[in-house]
Amino acid sequence: MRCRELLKYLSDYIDRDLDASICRHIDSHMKGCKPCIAFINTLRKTKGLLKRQPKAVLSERLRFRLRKLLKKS
Amino acid sequence: MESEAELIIKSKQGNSEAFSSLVSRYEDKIFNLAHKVCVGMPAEAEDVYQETFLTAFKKLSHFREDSNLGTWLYRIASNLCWMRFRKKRGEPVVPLLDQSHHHDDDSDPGSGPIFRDWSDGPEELSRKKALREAIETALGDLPIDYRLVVVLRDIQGLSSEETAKVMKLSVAAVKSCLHRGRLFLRDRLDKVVSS
Repeated sequence: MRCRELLKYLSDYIDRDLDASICRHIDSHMKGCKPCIAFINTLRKTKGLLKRQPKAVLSERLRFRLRKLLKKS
Repeated sequence: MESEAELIIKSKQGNSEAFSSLVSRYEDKIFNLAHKVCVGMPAEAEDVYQETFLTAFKKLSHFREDSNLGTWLYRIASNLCWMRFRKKRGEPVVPLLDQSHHHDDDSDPGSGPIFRDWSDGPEELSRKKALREAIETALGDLPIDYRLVVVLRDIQGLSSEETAKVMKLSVAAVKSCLHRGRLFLRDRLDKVVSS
């Protein structure tokens, strides 16, 4: 498998949502391809950064305003 | 504590107290979705949060009890976000295809350029902060369909199947949007690391 072919599978690969035989091809390719290892690491970190984005804090003012509007409706 | 099904039945009869109890179960998730999709526009995020529950209360009679309330609320919120950010007719489409992973056209594996892995060097801590900030900016630049899928999957933690139900897309379409969205974000972050 060449690097370009591998690209389309990378998200499924890091999500562990890929057919085992394709995983084996990717694993085998990765043993000899430093650019692909770095690329997949950065894609994994992108996913990790999204997951760790701080949660938005909902203010009491907004919660109260919504309850008030619901009572009126 | 009343079950969700009981609260839905009471809410359908117009009981706003029962509906408020349902709101309490989902409002933080809906607000987080709105906040991440309406990145840098807090007033829009507040409107989406509020409109989601007002619309849901108004249209609750259409909600089928065998459906998932969370999915239904996410769908309303996603639609409201989409309406705000959809492209105007005739506006050029932003190319999303990643051009950065093309090192092997005629070469053997491993013979291309070495990509940075973002973790080398003593400046890693400040880099992490810069990356967190950069991801917010990049999310805002992602076309709305991709942004919604990325936020639902990677921030809200829904599965591809759940995201497909919310977005009324096939699972394959969700996976494709997610992959292209992640590549776009990765590319933007890589530029931050390079600068």
